[in-house]
Amino acid sequence: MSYIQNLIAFFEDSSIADSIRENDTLFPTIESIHVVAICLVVGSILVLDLRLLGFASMNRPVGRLTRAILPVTWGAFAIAASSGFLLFISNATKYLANGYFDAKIVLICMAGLNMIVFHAVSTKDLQQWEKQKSPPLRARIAGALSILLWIAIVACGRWIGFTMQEL
Amino acid sequence: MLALTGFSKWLAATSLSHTIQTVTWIIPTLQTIHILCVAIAFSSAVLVDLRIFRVFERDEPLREVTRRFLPPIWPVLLILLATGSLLIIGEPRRSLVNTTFYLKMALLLVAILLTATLQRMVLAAPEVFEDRSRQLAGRALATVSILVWCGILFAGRWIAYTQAG
Amino acid sequence: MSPKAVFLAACLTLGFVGVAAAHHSNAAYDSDHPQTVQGTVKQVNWTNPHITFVIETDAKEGPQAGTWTFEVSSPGVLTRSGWTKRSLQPGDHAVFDYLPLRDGKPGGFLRKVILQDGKELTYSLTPDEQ
Repeated sequence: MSYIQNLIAFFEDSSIADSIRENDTLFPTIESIHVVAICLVVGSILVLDLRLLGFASMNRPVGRLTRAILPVTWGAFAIAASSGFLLFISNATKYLANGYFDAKIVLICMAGLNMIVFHAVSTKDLQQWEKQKSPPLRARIAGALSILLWIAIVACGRWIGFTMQEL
Repeated sequence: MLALTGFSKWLAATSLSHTIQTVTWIIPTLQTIHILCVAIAFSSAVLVDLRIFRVFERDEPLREVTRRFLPPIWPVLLILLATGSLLIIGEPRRSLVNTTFYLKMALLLVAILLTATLQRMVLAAPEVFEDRSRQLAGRALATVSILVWCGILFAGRWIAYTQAG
Repeated sequence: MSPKAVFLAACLTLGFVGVAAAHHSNAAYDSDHPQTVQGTVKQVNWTNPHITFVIETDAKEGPQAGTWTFEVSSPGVLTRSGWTKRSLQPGDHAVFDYLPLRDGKPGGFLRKVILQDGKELTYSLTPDEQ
């Protein structure tokens, strides 16, 4: 555990973290970039989830839609993760002590896992059902779960701001 | 400015405002719904702009992409109006006496006009940006659209950093 | 994995109802009843998004005694109003003008600080409040 503590301290005590912590405009700007990025992540994933649920973009085969959307999602996620990391190191210890921050990270991992599991169980027979009017049950579960997880992630993100311990 | 301050004080004294202020989960919940709706509206507009640049769904006609993604923005904007209004009623000083809020509203107006125009143009004349001479106009429109929508999100976050309590 | 995920999401959703906020939105402060208290600065957290000052109040007993945490705005707002990181330092004794927490806990939203030499530290308010 001490190695992790040292690693966290290394980032939190860096001059970059210092600047982000104290500078007038750096934190708000990085945070705004984070907001733009997460909006694209959530919005793009929602397009896929609604398709898996059979609610939208039904004229597009699932595979084709996925290939169009995921680059946007991953690009936005990379920006969200980097900006998020910069915000995190500015007050790492206090964020780690915040339950909503911890939950947010766990939920993001779960959303990723949901994606991986769905991809693993669907690759073989995707061509059979990707053009059907009614997607199979596992597609609908994956889509619904994804939406629930991302709503919870956004909520946790917002709740962090209201639950930081001061001392 | 004085009138806004007065109105802001009057709002803060209403019982609706008091309820929003004192029931601790209301403001974070309103903000969360607000952010989720922003994500939908923003992504919808940006995906169509990316299609104009032919980096998203270039195998789909622009008309189809527009038809799928732009119309949902309007009902979502209504939800944003509702949550936004409740947030203003709950914390009037945060927005009504804050220049950044008015910047956000101005950008929103531009975005609405731009996006509505784009939707109408493309659905009425699907080949409107296919023509070489119009391609530049299309890309210019898409660029301004992305910038203005990003501006709205930036201004939205910055409201908290220019309010003074 | 899936049932656990749904369960966790449900728990979090329910958990939001009982949030115990330490940092609060401005709505958690009673803007109609500003108060003052005297004390000595123990700690300055000049950080984004909110600066906090930890104060040891002068009162030895009663409702105003103890360690208080005052919240203000962001570094940007304060520096634009003339503050610097060193305007208030640990060890400084001052009078703190604040909006108290509605739930009565020790703490508040700082509006103004009057230093020992009489200098006032405040930040931009609307014209009719200046």
